[in-house]
Amino acid sequence: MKRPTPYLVAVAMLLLPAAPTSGQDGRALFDQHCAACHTIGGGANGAPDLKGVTAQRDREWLLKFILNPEAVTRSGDPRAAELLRMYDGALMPAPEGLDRASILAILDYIASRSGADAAPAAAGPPPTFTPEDIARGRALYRGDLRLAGHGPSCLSCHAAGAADLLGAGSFGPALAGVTTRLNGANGLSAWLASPPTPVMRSVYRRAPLAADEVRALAAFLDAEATAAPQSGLPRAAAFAGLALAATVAGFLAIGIIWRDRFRAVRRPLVSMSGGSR
Amino acid sequence: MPSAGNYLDVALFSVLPYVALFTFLLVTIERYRGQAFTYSSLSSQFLENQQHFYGLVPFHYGILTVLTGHVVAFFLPAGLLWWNDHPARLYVLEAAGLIFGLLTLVGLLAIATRRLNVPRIREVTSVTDWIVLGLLLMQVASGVYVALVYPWGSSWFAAIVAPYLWSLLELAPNLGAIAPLPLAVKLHITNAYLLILFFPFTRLVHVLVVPNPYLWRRPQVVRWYRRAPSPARHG
Repeated sequence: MKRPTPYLVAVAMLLLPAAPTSGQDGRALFDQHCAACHTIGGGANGAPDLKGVTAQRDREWLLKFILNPEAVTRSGDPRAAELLRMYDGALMPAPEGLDRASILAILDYIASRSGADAAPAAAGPPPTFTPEDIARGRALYRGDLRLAGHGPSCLSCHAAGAADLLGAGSFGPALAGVTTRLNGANGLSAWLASPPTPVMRSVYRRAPLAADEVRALAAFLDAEATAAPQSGLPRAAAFAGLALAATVAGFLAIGIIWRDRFRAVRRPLVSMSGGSR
Repeated sequence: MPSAGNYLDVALFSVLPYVALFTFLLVTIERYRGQAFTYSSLSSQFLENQQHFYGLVPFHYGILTVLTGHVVAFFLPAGLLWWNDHPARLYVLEAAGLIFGLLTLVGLLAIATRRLNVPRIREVTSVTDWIVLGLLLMQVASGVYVALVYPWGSSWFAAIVAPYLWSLLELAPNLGAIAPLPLAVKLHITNAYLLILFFPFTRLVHVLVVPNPYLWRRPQVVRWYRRAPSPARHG
């Protein structure tokens, strides 16, 4: 067997240091992919606090679960089943664009922040919003103020706050109380900046929200968290009733527009002749 | 490891559309080359024209308007989102869509009832006609249901469905946002593919050769120019 050429050795030496440096990205990757729902020592609210998770679970399991949470849960894994129970059936969405190496980098980062003396990586005190923030958020939610990335306004799919004449969309979940579900205003902001659910991700990856838009929307949704959730039913009934009435009017219009239409040849002749048929 | 649901999604939303489109193109062209004179709506107006009017007219104006809306949303999703950015404009568009959808649905129900109840019409109705009616009913009913239960479809179509349809045309189907959609929406999309698939085998081909003045000229009586089988019964 031939000995490795100096060229190959040089390439190998160039490649070797690449692995440890990926730990450098752990923090950025965590912020981008995980921080929308998880903290490290900042408390669990809606998703597990990941402090110490690398010590509690073996890496191979964590890797497998993070790569495809649905598959692991479906396979009947008892730990995944327990997570599903703890979080009321809410399954972690598979993070997009993460491979083995980047997940390992994130796990390294979590491990490095999990020491007894490590300060919590929570994002500091909850932000204070001004009435202007809230008003701007409401305008962005309704669409009166266009999103910079030209994505659809929130009202297209989500109900939040006082509704207009015909109400808001109900394609996506209602947003009342969303701040509580997502770790407070900070969690909500992180969630909006990088939405983890498949539909939101696919829509707003093409049309990302600007940082000031995230802040305004978080302000508006936080303010609406205390408002009573509106019932969509009367609005939907009004919408359906309106459309039904207009449809009846449409039929009348059709009858009037074509009132002189050619109806038959034989029938009028028969009736004119006084015959029975 | 993908679950059974994933396989079904792939079959329905990234295989079926190509099968449907390919069949559509191949068979419409072959049928036109080989049997051009079968390109017809096979009008039954001659056999019965009272119930016919209140089914045919609202159905056609309804379906043409709603279909145009879908096509515009497919080609100009950004323009649609721009229009919908004011709730008042969104409401006008959505209400118009639902009204024309309801006109289509009621017209279609009238057409189906007529086909069932008028013996002369039932006599000339083939199995493919019933398949067409069934698929159309499913399509229009699911469309109206989605418009009522999952507002506001004009916006989420532009943001979710249009990019998916474009990904199909770019030969790189992206089901990321389609897989989690509600069942009724998936039914509407799947049934649309089935309609495209069956289209070239049915009377729907008349859509491709429609004389455009149909849309504004006065309705006229269509007659079959054919020697009567037993002249003695006339009179």
